[in-house]
Amino acid sequence: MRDIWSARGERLLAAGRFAAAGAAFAQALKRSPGNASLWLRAADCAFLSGKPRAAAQAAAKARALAGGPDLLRRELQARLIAGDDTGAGKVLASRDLPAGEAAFWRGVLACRAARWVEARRCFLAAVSSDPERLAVRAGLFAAWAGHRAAGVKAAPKARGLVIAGLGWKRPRQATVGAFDALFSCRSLFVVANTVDDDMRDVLSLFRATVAAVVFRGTEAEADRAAKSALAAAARGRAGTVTRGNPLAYGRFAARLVAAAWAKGIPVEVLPGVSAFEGLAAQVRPAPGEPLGLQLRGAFTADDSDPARALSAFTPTAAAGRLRLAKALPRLAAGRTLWWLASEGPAAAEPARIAAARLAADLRAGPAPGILHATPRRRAR
Amino acid sequence: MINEMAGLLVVCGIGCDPEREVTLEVLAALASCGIRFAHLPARHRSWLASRVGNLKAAKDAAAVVHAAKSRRVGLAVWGHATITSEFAREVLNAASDAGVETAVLASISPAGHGIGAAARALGWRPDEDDGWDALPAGEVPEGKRKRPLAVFDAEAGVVRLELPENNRA
Repeated sequence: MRDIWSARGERLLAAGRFAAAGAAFAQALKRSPGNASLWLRAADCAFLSGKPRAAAQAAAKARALAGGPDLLRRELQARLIAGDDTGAGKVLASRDLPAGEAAFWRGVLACRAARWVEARRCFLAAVSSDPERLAVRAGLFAAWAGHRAAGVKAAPKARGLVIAGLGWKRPRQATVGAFDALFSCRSLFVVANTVDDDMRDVLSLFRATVAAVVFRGTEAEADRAAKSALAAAARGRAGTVTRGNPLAYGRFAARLVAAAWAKGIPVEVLPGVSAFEGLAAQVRPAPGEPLGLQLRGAFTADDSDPARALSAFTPTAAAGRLRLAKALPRLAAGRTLWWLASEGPAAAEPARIAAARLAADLRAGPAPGILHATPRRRAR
Repeated sequence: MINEMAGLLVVCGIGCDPEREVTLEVLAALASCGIRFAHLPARHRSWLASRVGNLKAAKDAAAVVHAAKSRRVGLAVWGHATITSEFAREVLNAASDAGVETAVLASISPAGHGIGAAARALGWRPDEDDGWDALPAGEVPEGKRKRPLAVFDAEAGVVRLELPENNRA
């Protein structure tokens, strides 16, 4: 019986039905209240449903049952995201964490209190620690704390909507502007298919309440979240967090911008590094190749200059196959960056096969272009 | 990730509006380099130096590559290294000829900057099929705009945006 509810919870969680998944895990926990993994799943569901306090309680329960540094980190993240700095401080003080990891979390707490010099010192103390994931994150956060310690000129507006991208490879490609703006927000709306450890660490830095997690591809949920975000932005300063550049092929952000303009709500868009910029950094242009870049969507007429780099995006496998066949000579000449985003696991497969075939063809070329395939989740 | 980068020469774009657009990865990478060069307008160079430490003016690609033969060297350029910087391309080609390993860190290009700035200030209606162009000043074709355009001057460190008339909120 336990396995049925647990399996159901996993299915619903993967489909982005966070509240229903939470209810299924609650049923599983009635039968197995001592199972730390189930409590952790319950914490995930509560957080993704926009209930950070319930998430913190469930994460604390999981840690109390099983212990260990991973669960301790999850509890710290959950408490900080829920705004419980005092509780997080107590957990940190009472546990015997490795020195590097303890320094990292002291840095996070110092950031939240805007004690930038102390935060930078703590993060730098964690830069050479294990695991490497933590060390890298510490280096990035130290860079931000150092930037804040050096002084930021612009004072944040009292109300309005911040739309910030954290980069194609987040959080390393997040900008100081995005972090600065999100730090000044009172509430945050996270647009993501899933919220992983990277994202939880980033959200731990900011004092804002995480009001909702928007599962990409679900229109009704996106509409509800857009309305909530606009209402929050009319009252105070609200932020939405996405991957990449929010307006480069981002429907949710585009919808938000249009709605905010219509309601007279100030909008601040902070671009993150997008996929086309990430791919362009991997190409070594030939001597004499003209500077600049052309971006084209799936259904735009291709009137681009053949001598200049082109970056093209296709949201469906079918459109991708059609456009890729035409693009092959340009890809082989090294002037095209191309990425596919397919609409679901089944649709993604032909795109992956097409991408693999083209990549194999291109490997023989002197200066191959770049092809990147990103599977997307299917909309409910 | 930063700690895994094998390159001795790290080429970093700092975005088009560095005070907002420089990435955390670029700041961390530059701060970790033994020698830092900058090919930047003076105002951006002084701001970046306040974040990562001393920056030498980079005038000659060969000098940058020579320094990278023995130490870990960072080079900061305006915009995006491979999209907007002739100097960064020159350095990358010279490093390739000299057998010096390189890493290019991605950054926000004039197109990415324009997509954010146009919605922020000009009331541009984002439409994913519009497309965008980012072209150097002096290479912009005459005539009516079909799509938004970011015209950049990497030496001066500025971007000018031009939107089609029918695409304003």
